[in-house]
This record gives sequence, structure tokens and C-alpha cells, in this order.
Amino acid sequence: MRETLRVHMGWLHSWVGFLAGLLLACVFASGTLAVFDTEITQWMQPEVSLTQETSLTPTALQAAAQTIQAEEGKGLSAFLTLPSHRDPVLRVLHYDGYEFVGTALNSETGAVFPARETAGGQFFYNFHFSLRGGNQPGVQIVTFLGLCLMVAIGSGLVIHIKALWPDLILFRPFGARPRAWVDAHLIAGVLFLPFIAFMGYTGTAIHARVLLPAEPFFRSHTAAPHKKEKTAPKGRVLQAGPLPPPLAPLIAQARDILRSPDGNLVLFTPDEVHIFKSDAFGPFLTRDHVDFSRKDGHLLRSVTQSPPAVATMQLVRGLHYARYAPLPLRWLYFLSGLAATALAASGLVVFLMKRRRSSGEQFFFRVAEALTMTTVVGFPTATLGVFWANRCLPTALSGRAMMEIDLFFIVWGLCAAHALLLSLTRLAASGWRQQLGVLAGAGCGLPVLDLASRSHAWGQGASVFMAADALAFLTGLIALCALLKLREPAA
Amino acid sequence: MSRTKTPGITLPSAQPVTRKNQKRQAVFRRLGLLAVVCALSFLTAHLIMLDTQRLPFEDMRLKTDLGGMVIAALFPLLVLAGFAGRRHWWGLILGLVACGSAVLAGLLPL
Repeated sequence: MRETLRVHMGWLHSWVGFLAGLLLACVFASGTLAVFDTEITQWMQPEVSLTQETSLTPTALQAAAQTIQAEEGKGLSAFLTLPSHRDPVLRVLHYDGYEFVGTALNSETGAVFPARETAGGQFFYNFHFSLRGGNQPGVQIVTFLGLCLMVAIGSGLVIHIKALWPDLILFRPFGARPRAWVDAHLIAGVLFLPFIAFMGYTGTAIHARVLLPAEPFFRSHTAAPHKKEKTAPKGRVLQAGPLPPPLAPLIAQARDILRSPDGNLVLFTPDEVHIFKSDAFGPFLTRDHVDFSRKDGHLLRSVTQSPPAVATMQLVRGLHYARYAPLPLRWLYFLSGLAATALAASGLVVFLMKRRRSSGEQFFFRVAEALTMTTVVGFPTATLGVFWANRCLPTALSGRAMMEIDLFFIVWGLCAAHALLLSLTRLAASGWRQQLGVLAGAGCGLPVLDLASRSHAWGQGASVFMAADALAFLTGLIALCALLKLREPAA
Repeated sequence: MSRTKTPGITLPSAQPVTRKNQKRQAVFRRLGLLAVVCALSFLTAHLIMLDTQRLPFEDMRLKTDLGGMVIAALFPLLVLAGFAGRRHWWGLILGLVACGSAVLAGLLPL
């Protein structure tokens, strides 16, 4: 075999793409869902009314301030998210080590919504950048995968640079199986290349410091040990502060200075109240804020100017997180994320198809097929499992949020075990069909379950429920089509 | 597209080496090259991150953010170049030059 550059890069693309793609597909899929994290939380807390206005009353803010103080009494560092058009609810949240969870209050009366406990869309957001494994090793793994993605994109470009234009328009879904999958891989990769490369680059750049901290690997023994100040762990406070002053005038003053009319964040320290500009205000994810004294509410300082270097990073973060995006742009992010997921999933399938004839009987091939099945079918099944768990578990169950997440990993683990068992016993084809059948059932059945649970009204504000149910149904239909296609003899 | 030949991979037919062995050798060579290139790229990236501490900003987070932006762009390029440039080992030489530059940037006064 001639060792041309193309052959060499093809080998790199195949192996880096396959090994990293097994997890990258899950990272892409969870990131795609995280675009609608707030809406998923709303679907998972149907008790929270979405029909109210975004106006805030002093009564509601007073109730929120009391809740904050109570949370601080428990050692939790709680903060407020003010109502916005996207989420017209006053929320008191705290960081539980993985997600931001808490209670939802009516922004007019201050009454607590008796909402079920759930991690909601925050779970997918957290999974996207850390696989729910914390900074070490979760974020490190995902950042490393980001670097692998960039290598795979670069090598893929070298392979296909001559045929970029035909790849863009050529799709033969009814062609022979490998051809159709390769076409799908190429069309997703070429058409959405700018989005995938940009998101891969920005995601890696944002968390690069976790993978490669700015500290020497080998410390000098003669250097004096660095004394650390005693600080509370993330999401906790060492001491509770006094009851905050009336928040309504502070918020009005801060909004005036920040020119941010809604959706602000309000953070509390024992001495100060920090009111931040809304993330939805623009593509720059600024941390502009106005600080007040927690004792008497007088203005301490305002930070509204960012130097160019800081502004660059704010733009990088803002464009990656897409919190600024209005609904149509959010859907575009979502569709592009789906394309990235399809790219990774089709790449995995193509890798297997190309090697089935030569290495199909080998142990490692069977393990690779089982892992692919776990990623391509098992992950969406486990994701739908979270939605099913949300509607099926009793609403008053304590530790409910954790149980939903546990169920996600249990379902995913079961899919992996099932795939391994059937692949190793040369029944991989049955494994694909059975898992696709379960996915089809879970997807198509979710709208029925949602309807049967009668957990919410189908009037105003029901678009969130309809969209989520429709997408689940569509996922089920796609799985069903794939299942029917798999039953046909190979062309 | 440039084509690079590696002398030594294609052996004369007189030698009793099977095609399978040839393929295996090629894979081992590639794996070795990839491991060296990745190690060199990681070292360069680590040194760049250390160099960011010398940037004239007060905020440590900003320094590492900027270092992250450089690393996210440079690391894949170094791996691709190191893996692709086998004729006269120019890819590896490029990696060594980048690594040396990062070392010098840390040693020389600003």
C-alpha cells in the first residue's frame, strides 16, 4: 500500500474519530439538548406556571430574600434569577456540586410553586461539558475530546478537500448501506463544518486551563508551600449574612446602570449584594455588575467596562453558550447540534462497516460494535429514560432529582451490557434491532405518557410541552424507520 | 495535494515478508509517530500555558483563557503537521521548533 498523505490522514481520521467519537456523539447530543435547558426544566416542572408576566413585586422579592437567608442558614450559597421572557419565574437556586437547583417562586405573589424536584435541563448542560464527572476527570476528558475533534476535523479536511463541493450536495439515502452512511457523514460534516469547528474550538479553549493548568508539573521542593486562604467550597457559604435590604429599589437602580431590563442574576455575600447583567442581553457574556451593601443597600460600585482582551473571551463564551440567542437562532443552534451528533454517529457506523468484512470475527471488533450501539442507540434511550422517570416517579419523592439521574445511568449501563452480551455472542444485529425497538417505544410513547399524566394544562404556555413531546415522537419515528430498514436484507 | 513517500515501508518483493506483517509494521510506525507527536504537542501546550503567566494582565483567569485559545488552535495543527510531515521529518522538526520557542519564551526576559 502506498503511504500517501491521504492514506496516512485517513488512518488518523478513522482511529481518532472512532475512539473520540464514542463519547463526542454523547457530548454533541447533550450540548444540543442544553441549548433548550431552560425549556427542558420547564417541561420537567409542569407545576410551575409559565403564563405569568415578567413583572416583579416587592412582596415576591421579600419572599425570595427570606428564602435566600434560610438557604444560607443551611450553609448553601443561594442566588436569585429574575424572571425573563424565556423563563417568567423568580428562581432561588444553589449549586449542588453538579447542577443549579432550587425553588421557583411566583414573581407577583412570591408563593412557592409546589414543583417536583428535578435536575431538569441542567443535567444535560452539566453532562455536555463534564460528563457529570466534575472538573477532574470529567472536564479534562471532554477538553481532551475537543482536541481530538479538532484533529479529526483537520484530517477529514485533508482527505476530502478535493471533493468538498460534491460532498456538499451528494446524498444517496437509498444507495447501498455503506454509501448512504458515508454520504450522511460527509454532508453533515461539510455543510455544518463552520459550526462544528467553531463550537469545538471555543469549547476546548474555554476549558483548556482545566486540562493544562498554568502550574509546573514538577514543583521545586525548596519553594515555600503556598498558604491558601480559607474559602468555602463552590456552592457553599461559611457564614450566613443578614436579611438583605428591600431588593426592588436596588434592582431598579442596577437595571438602570446596566441597561438590562430583565433576567438579571442576584448574588449574595455576607456583606454585599451583586446584581449582574442578564446573559440574554447580547453575544458578549459579560459579567457587568452593580454592587450594594447588604446592610443598608447603598451603592458600593459598578463594573460595566471590559478591556478588549476580556471582551474577546466574553464573546467566545457568549457565542458558545448561546444564552443571548432568540428563539429562531436557538433552533438553528439546535439543528446544527443535531447535525454534529449525526456526523459523529454516522462516522462510528462507517468505521464499523468498513471493517466488518475483514475484522468482523475479531473480539475487538465486537467490543467496538457494542460500544457504538451503546452510544448511537443507548444514549438517546437513556435520555428519554430521564423524561419518562420525570413523569413516572412520585412527585413528592425525596431525592427525586438524583433518582432521575441515577436512572439515566442505569438505563445507559443496561444498554451497554445488553449490547456487549449480544455482540460477543455474535448476535449484534439482534442487539441493534432490540435497542432500536426500545428507543422507538420510548420516543413514541412519551407524548402519550405526558398526556396521560395530566400534569399540566394544554392551554397558554403549552408550546414547551408540545415541542418536547413532538421531538421525542420524532426520535421514536426515526428509530422505527431504522429498525424497519435493518430488517431488510442488505443491498 | 502533496504526496509523501516513506522509504522503507514498501519492501522489495524478494524479501519474505508477508503483506500482513508489512501492514502491522506500518501501523506500529504510525502509532509510534503519533505518540511522539502528541507528547511533543502536549509539552508545547503546557509550556505555552506556563508562559501565559507572564502576560501583562492582573486577572489570572484571563491569562489562562488566552493561553487556552492559543492551545486549542495550535495543538491540533502541531499533531496534524507532525503526523503528516514525514519527508525529512519536517513535521517533527516543526513541533520541536514550537516547543523550543515556548521554552525560550519562558526563559528570556520580557
